[in-house]
Amino acid sequence: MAEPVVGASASSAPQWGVVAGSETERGASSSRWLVLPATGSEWLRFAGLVAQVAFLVVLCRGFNIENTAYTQRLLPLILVGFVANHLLAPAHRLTLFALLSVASVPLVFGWLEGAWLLAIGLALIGVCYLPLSWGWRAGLMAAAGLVLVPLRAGLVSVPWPTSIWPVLGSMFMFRMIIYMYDTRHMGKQGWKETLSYFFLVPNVVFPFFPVVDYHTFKRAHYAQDAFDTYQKGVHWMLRGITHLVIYRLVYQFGVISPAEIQHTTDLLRFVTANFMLYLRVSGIFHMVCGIFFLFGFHMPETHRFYFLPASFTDIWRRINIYWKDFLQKTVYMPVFFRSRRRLGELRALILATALVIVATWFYHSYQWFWLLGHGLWSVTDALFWVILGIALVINVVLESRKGRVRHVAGLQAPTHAQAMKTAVRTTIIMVPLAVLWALWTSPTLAGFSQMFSALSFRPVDIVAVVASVMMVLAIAYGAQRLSFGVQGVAPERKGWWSNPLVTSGVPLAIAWGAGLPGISDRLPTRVAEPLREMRVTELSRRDTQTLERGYYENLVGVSRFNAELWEVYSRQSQSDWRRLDEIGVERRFDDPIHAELRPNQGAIFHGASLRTNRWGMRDKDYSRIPAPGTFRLAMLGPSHAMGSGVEDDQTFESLVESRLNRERAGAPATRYEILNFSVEGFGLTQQRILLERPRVWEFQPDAVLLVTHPVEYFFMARYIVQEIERRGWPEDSAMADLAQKAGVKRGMTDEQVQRLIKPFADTVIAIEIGRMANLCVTHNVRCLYALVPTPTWAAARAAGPPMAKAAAESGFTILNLDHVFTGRDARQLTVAPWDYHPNAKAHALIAERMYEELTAQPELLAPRASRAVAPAAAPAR
Amino acid sequence: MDPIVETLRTYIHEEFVPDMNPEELTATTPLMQSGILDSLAAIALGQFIEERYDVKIDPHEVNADNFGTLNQVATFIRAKQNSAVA
Repeated sequence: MAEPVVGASASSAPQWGVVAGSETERGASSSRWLVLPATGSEWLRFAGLVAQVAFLVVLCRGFNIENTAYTQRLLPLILVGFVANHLLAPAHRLTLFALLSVASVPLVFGWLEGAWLLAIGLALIGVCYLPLSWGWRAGLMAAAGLVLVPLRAGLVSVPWPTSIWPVLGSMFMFRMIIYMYDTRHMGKQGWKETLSYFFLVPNVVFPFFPVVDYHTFKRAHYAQDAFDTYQKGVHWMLRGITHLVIYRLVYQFGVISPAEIQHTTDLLRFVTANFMLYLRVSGIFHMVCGIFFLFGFHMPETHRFYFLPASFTDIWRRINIYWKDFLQKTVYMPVFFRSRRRLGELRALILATALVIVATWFYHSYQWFWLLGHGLWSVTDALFWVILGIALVINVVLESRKGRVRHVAGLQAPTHAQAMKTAVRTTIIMVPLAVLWALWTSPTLAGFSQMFSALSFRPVDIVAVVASVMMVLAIAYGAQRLSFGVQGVAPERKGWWSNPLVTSGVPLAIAWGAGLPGISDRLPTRVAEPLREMRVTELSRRDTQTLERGYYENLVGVSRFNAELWEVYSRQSQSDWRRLDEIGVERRFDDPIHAELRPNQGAIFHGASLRTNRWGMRDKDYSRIPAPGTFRLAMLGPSHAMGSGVEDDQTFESLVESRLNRERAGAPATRYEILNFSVEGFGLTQQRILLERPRVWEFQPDAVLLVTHPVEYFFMARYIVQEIERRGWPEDSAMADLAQKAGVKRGMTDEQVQRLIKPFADTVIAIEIGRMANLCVTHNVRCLYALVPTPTWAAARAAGPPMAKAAAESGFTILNLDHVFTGRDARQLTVAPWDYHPNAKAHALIAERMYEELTAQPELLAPRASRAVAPAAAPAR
Repeated sequence: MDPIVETLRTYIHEEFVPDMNPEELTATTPLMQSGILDSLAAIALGQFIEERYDVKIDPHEVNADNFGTLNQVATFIRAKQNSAVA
């Protein structure tokens, strides 16, 4: 026999287990490297498993699960590793797992970054092996952690690339605590176990990682039959993919921002969708643990029907079970055992439970610090944990006094009465849980209370609430009756139809196939869109807005509820992404227009050269008065029209102008000039103010092209907030009226103002566009309108048609660019993952379409017979 | 049957799973994995063992190795008793 059986004595540490169930492996010797399956049936079963793992690889790649590093680099390694691991003699399998884990780091990060990560990791692990007492080693480890704090916070510069921080943090922030705790009782550990544990093979691509317990990890290695363990891994990975695909649908189609909550139905949707975002965590955890199973680690389950808790303690037991076990081991048990004699049992229980909640609250911010570089402290977060803590303590006291009947795995299916009782409890508990979740989701307490101010009692709201309650009741009851909530009722015992390969694998494969471009093109948009969204990782509309807000205000609007956004920011090279005013190109001043570009400036802005002409435009130089026969177009817009993140000659404005002069010179104009008056951050209000001033008209344009952003009301909200900050109340009468009508007050955040002005947004946008049309008429110029979408599809579908309709009704000629990015991968069209602006390729696409739209109506490009003289107006400011 | 196992079986059945058919709670039934022993139950069982068998349990010993099945709990108790005698 290759290895000894796991010891169960009180004093001895567990040892690596033996394979159970496989005769071939039972006879394996550690002196042999390979142990091939002995019988045809063993070969057949193994081949079947390899085929299933290969199927998982194809599914993950087809659905682009999580990231390309996972699908393109790590999964092939795991597939090959799985085969090699099983064929290796049991004595060598852990060595292979340790080597794969270490190799995964440079495989994903590259040699330089990988070497840094491994070096820092090995240095930390080295502390655990110092020939010192446990107390000294623990003290040194704590000191090492403290030294790393200012480095992670960016207070001290480091020689290694900052991109390794999240993964380094993820590998060591909790596992080192557990490892130190366990080695105190288990003694020093072998290198294979230690390296395997810290560099766990999928961790390098999943910074959100389950808190794996060392003791459990170690005793789980081939603790059960090898083939059964592998099969379970396949099932868990399938479950993980299912969770992640559903998550994508919820993320793209379900989630709305707090600003969009106008009625009870919106609130219901907001809370439900945000709760369901947790599917990503459970999906990743199932995927990660499934991989462990493929290498023989028979791990405990990570989640157990957490959507159906029957009490507060029940959700604590069901959701993120590894986390619960971590705190039970390191906080709950030690506190209880140490204080029970002094305080008595009940008080010790209360103290232990309360400290578990405090630790959870602290560790959440601790975790975010290592992942993101700063903690996440907020009043709503603290309040959430206080309320949850009180609820848990009450639950624990009641359970300890009255007891709780436990259902036993696989042996008891609840009766009708029991199932209904539990279902009613689940339904009741969902109400405070939903409110509590909404509190946790809210960035501020004011935002939370404002969310509930949207409560309305229209018939549709009442129907929606009643329907939701009935649905929860029905699902909870059904789940109980079908024994879903009873752990251990193995699907294998229910028949082939309940096998995960059938329940998850087949639907996923069909959904993937139906989403292929050739097939989905023939389906109705309503069906094709979700199929497409299942296959891609893109920011949702809400996160796109947050990303854009962060772009303009240097805010990182990341919370526990937009992990996608966190991943985007984690890749950002902060030093290259400074604002225009920070690099001296833009001047911000006390005026309702807020900012202007400085003349004759040159700088590298977001990775591309940016020059301004003598008039303060991001453009080449022009004379003030156009030459005879010239068609001159004045373009006004925000940053994507200005060309943020692309070279001077790559902006769509520059490309269209060049092409017109190249291909259309002579007719209808001898020359074409497009003057770019766009300024980063300019919304409709600032563009209208610009048109009210002589600046544009001094250049005697023949036409004005108004370029808008898909979510203009976001710009309006931001404008109002900035005006209130600067002068107490908006100076511009239109914005002052809007703020008053919407009930905006001082001190409100962007999101709060967005929510308040949203009902009025379409009207106000129409008024603003109408005012600009009037200005064009006054100056006798043609007015053109283009809604230039951002490459992110989700943002583009947000608010296009109403604005275009308003522009058309006001007399604008519409240049239709609506579907300029349709069918393209948005990730290939943005300046950077963290910067949603169109890149050079996207600008070229916009330019091509805009050229077509302009040349389709040649009269648009004809110079006016007589140019208007700029009316005397206030001097340019 | 092992007298320790029998005592523990009776205690666990009465305290935590009274609805369960007693014959189904065997010496090898997984206690932690099945949900019979959650944190509160593990603590209660630990206290019962301490009082009944006059041993002292440390917090780190409440784990799946020692509390995984009735057999494992019995082995754990004996090891504690032996180490106390030694």
